[in-house]
Amino acid sequence: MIRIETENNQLSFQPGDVIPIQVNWDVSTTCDIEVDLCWSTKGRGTTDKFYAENQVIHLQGKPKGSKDLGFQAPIGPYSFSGKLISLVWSIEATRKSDDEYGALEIIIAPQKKELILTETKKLIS
Amino acid sequence: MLAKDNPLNTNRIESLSYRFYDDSFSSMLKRLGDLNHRAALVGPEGSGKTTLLLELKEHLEDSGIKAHLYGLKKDRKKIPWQFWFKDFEPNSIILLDGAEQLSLLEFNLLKLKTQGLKGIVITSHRSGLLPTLLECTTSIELFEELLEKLVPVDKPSRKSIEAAFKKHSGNIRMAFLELYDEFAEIHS
Repeated sequence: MIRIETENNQLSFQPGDVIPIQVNWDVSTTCDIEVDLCWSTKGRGTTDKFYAENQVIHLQGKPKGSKDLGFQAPIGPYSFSGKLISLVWSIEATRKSDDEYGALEIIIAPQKKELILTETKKLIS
Repeated sequence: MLAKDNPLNTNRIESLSYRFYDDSFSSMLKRLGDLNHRAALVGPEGSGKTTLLLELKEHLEDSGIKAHLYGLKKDRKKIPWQFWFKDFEPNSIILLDGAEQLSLLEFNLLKLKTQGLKGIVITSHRSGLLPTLLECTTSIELFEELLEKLVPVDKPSRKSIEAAFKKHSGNIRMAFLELYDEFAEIHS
């Protein structure tokens, strides 16, 4: 099991903010855990994914434990959503040695609010 | 409904695994071995060939076999030129998605190129290029079953399901996208 939590369960951040997280694990082997701050697209089309920052937790012989980490929220792209596409930031924890996986979706945008895309109406002259 | 909440967004569709009927992954693997690892997954568009090929790639890699995947489409009909000059390890299997895009000459060159390798598995809309390993088909029942996994509650109406399936002539991927649009509109 790998679980990611943010301080005070805060899930929305402004660009430039520090994102304090705690990674908790209870796993069978002591292989490293890779923690990524990344964004991906979700929607009707093909998926894009971009890894912004990576940190590694060395388990140092402890199959059960926790560690505090911090990421800095990048200046962009902002979290946004429309009917056809959403851009979703997340923090993901994975291990190369097995399928253990933990993830947490967050929002990175001005005023800590996801941008919602609305339809533009055609102007008829 | 926002794209990330749409139960039929691409991420969720791609998380579905291939559904076998009267067959299994293990018996397919046995047949592949019997065919000297030279075979084709045959079926129309949106019938799960690519999904199954990706699952096969993962399985081969887990078994220590080097699997090299190439994909062709209507707007990308050529295998990258680097392929023809690459020295593949003998323990390699070439996986080619969309082999029907190649001319007969190109396909024969491909067969020559892969002669010394462990194998080649292709997907194709038509049979005859390599011995058929599996024929992928779709049905309205299969579409409904997969839909049930993605949308366990608040499912689209039977009429919408049938209309989407019929409109796209059994192409399940496209039928999903048809219903995606419906979700995006109805639940907004």
